[in-house]
Amino acid sequence: MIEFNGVHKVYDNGKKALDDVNIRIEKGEFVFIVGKSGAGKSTFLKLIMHEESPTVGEVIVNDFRLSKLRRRQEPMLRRTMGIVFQDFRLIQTMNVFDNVAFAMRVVGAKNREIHKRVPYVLQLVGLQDKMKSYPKELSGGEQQRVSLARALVNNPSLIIADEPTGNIDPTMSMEIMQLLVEINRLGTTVLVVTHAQALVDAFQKRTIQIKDGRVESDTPEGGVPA
Amino acid sequence: MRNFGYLLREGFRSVWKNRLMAAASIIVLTACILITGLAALVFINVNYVFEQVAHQNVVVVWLQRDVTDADIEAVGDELNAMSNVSGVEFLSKEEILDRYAKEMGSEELYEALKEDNPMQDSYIVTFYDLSLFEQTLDDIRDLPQTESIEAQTKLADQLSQLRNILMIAGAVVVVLLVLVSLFIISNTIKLTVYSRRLEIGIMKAVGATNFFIRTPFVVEGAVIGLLSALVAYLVTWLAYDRVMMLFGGEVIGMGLLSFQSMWWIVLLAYLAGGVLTGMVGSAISMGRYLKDEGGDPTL
Ligand SMILES: Nc1ncnc2c1ncn2[C@@H]1O[C@H](COP(=O)(O)OP(=O)(O)OP(=O)(O)O)[C@@H](O)[C@H]1O
Ligand SMILES: [Mg+2]
Repeated sequence: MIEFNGVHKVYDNGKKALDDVNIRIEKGEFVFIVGKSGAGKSTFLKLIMHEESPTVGEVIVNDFRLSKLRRRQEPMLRRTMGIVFQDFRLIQTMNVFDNVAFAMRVVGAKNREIHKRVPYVLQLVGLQDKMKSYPKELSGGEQQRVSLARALVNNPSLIIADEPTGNIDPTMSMEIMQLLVEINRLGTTVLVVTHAQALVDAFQKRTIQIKDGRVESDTPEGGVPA
Repeated sequence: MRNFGYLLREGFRSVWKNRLMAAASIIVLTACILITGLAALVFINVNYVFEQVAHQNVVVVWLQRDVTDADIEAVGDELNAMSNVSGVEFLSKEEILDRYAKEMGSEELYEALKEDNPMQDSYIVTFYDLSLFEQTLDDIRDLPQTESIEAQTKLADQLSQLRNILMIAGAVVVVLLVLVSLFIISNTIKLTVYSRRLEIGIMKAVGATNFFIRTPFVVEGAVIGLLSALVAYLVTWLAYDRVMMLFGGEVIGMGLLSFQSMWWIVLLAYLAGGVLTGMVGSAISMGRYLKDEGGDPTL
């Protein structure tokens, strides 16, 4: 569950990125965030990840009141979410299995759990045959699926994806988006920032449009009003 | 700590992956440990020689010719009361004359001079702390019954000065070297942090604690420190034995400490110094990095 109450964000350089945002996203929802470049979409996600703090207002994520979040609690907040990056962020010197296992190791999972969970998640994204491959041997779409598996492996209640299909071709993009919808169907809240209008139209999911830092429209059944 | 094995492995792996930088900092750190260690060993030996000289340094206090028995006793009490005096031994003029006569091999001499003894009563005095030598001598000189003092002041003086110079110079050098070491280590770690910033970003993104992120780098620093300490130890050992051979194990007739008698102290001190410097150095650069980046998972 995500809640924005009267959130303003002004960066140190004086740039106003978000302007009085009030939003509620329930557990289990699938939400597209759309808007022109520079509208404030990534800023919106960064506030959720507690990578930036609001200048004014309150953000609540998975029961963490972020203005009250202590430094040492930040890792606990992050463990409730899985983050997918536009540029995949895979470690080139690790194979697919290790890239995914890495996310479990660094939160202290036991080897036994890792060897059970990683193959399961890789199968979920259809990469069970590529476990020993290295990132450079994979297509963009496959790399993004590894990154998705990594985001999923710690079983987060929320997936955040900032333009996950920005670097891959349209057919692959469709597959990635279908995967995200499938993950959502299994109970995970999913937040996707995208520029791809075709994808937004295809899936008919709640769509929040941001313009100049303000919520311009919020349509539960998808699409952006003319 | 079920993940400690993993964190240790990561630390070692990182040293190996960045072995060129690691080698460079091991060389610098080894040099720093070596200089510090050798300076300390020289100091310890000077001190050791100093102590020996101190114990052998006997001062003869000659009393006035006309002293009474009461005077003699009074001087003895005064000497014993001085805090820097470790030993006081009275030698009467009769004893001295007796010894002298025996040395000359003529009993007659003793008999002839007994009535009008040309010798003087004296006290043989030894000191605790040679650095207070002059001061104590002045105190003795101030006693009204003393006539003169016979002492080898020069050697004690020089040794005392040498010790002070070594102590000050040593402290300055050690502080400088520690700073240099910390600087070198933290820069090496900064480079490996930089080369692994993607990994660190991912770790932050999936919720690794700062402790977990920091530990492999601290281990890396510790490994660099450990290796440096071992290399420095071997070089110290060889150099020390070589120098000992050169000196024949002594200077100015005083024995020097053998490496065998203190090898484990040297080893422990080196290991502690190296590992600690390595860990602190990397903690410094890690702390700065985690603070600057503020836990930014997207960098
Ligand atoms: N760290 C920052 N410091 C200063 N200004 C920033 C910072 N990050 C973003 N901005 C500015 O804030 C505004 C919103 O940026 P944001 O990244 O949220 O846009 P966006 O909607 O994600 O754009 P895009 O579609 O290009 O990714 C932009 O004008 C941007 O230049
Ligand atoms: Mg953006």
